[in-house]
Amino acid sequence: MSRRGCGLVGLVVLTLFIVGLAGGAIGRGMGIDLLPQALDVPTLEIHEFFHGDPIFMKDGPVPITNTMIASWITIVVVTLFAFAATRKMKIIPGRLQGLVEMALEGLLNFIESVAGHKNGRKFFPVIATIFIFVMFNAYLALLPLYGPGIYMEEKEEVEVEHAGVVVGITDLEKVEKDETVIFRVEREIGDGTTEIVDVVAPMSGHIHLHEGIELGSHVDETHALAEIVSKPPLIRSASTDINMTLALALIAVLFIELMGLTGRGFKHYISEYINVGELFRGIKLFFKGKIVDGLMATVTGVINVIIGGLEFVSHMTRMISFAFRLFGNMTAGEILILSAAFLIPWIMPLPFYGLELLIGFIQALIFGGLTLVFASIAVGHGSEEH
Amino acid sequence: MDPEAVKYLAVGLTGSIGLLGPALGLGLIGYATVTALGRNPEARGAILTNMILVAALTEAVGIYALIVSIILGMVA
Repeated sequence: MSRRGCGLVGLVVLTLFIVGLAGGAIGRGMGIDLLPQALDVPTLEIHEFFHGDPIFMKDGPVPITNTMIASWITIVVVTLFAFAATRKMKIIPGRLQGLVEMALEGLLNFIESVAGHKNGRKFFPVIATIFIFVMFNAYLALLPLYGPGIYMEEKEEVEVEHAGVVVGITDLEKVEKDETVIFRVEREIGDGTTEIVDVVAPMSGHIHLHEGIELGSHVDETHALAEIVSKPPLIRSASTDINMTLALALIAVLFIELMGLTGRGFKHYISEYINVGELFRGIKLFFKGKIVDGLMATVTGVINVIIGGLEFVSHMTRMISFAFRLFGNMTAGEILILSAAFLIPWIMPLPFYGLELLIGFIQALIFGGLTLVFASIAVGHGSEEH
Repeated sequence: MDPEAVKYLAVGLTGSIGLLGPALGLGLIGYATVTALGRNPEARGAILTNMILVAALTEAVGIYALIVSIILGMVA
């Protein structure tokens, strides 16, 4: 780029930075309200922390959440990408085919360098699928389509069933479905006795009271008291849903155990968890009359049994740490970018986008790589061929 | 003490104490990497790859603390 071009880009970036500084949360805090409403950036808000928000079929058996939509998009994109790369395969590859071949070959070399030639070929499909899925999830989530920019607006009115007097109003801005008590209404049941009825939030979201509703005002069932507004994003990164990462971790752990089972045979595999051979030997020695040897062997046997249990626990903890590592990294990245965009829009998120590109790749590498390492440990060292 | 104050104390302390361990770990990783690079500059590629992997694993521990403190701040 020429010197003048560089200067022009720098000027634009500087202008955007200053406008963002004045128009973002920092500027608003200092009392400058510069940006028109249409250009306002979405305020930092996390809806459901652990899972996506239901968007379609909310009352069905399987509600379609925004994170599910994101993972379907990932599947479609990866499929189309692979299809486009392999549609017209040539001996001398074109650009796209060359790129895909290079990436897959690098992955295969990495896997073979860890697990050996034979096992590496066997592990490749699962590990590569995990790697590609996690990485595309992370990279697609950086698109502006994702996140709170595009949302579904849902409204619901809060109503009372019987006329009465409002004796309590919540001071919360955000309410939880079926948990937060928004109003307490005192109503007469006759004979001068009264009863206090709790009005519970019909859905989660922000609450806006209607005009004239305050403590002591008379309400009846014909008029709504308040309105709850919720704006869940239409698409949200699939890895910010604990269900997705847990499912992926379950697949990885099942794959590891299956490889251990088929690679070492049932007897060796199960003896890792239920190690009772030494215990039985000790008991047998007892009955033969060798008290000291029997005691020693029994103590070792008991320790072996406990170690087997610990082994089982440690294999199951892997699943949780897999799931939370990916979930935590992706959620933290999303919150980081949202906070940066909230403080100084447009310019400040840029370096974090770069960081997220790196983190998406590394997390995919860690998820795939750890599965690979655990699987090659599970297969055992009997048939190593480095 | 005021329950609200205790909540914010818990959030801050979870974040800060929870990040202490990963911070020490990252420092150790950096120290070991620089030492290894000084001893064997030719192995730069392999050392850096392993460093980034271990650094990301260490960082994940800090992120567990972050999750806990966010949950404490939002839910409790």
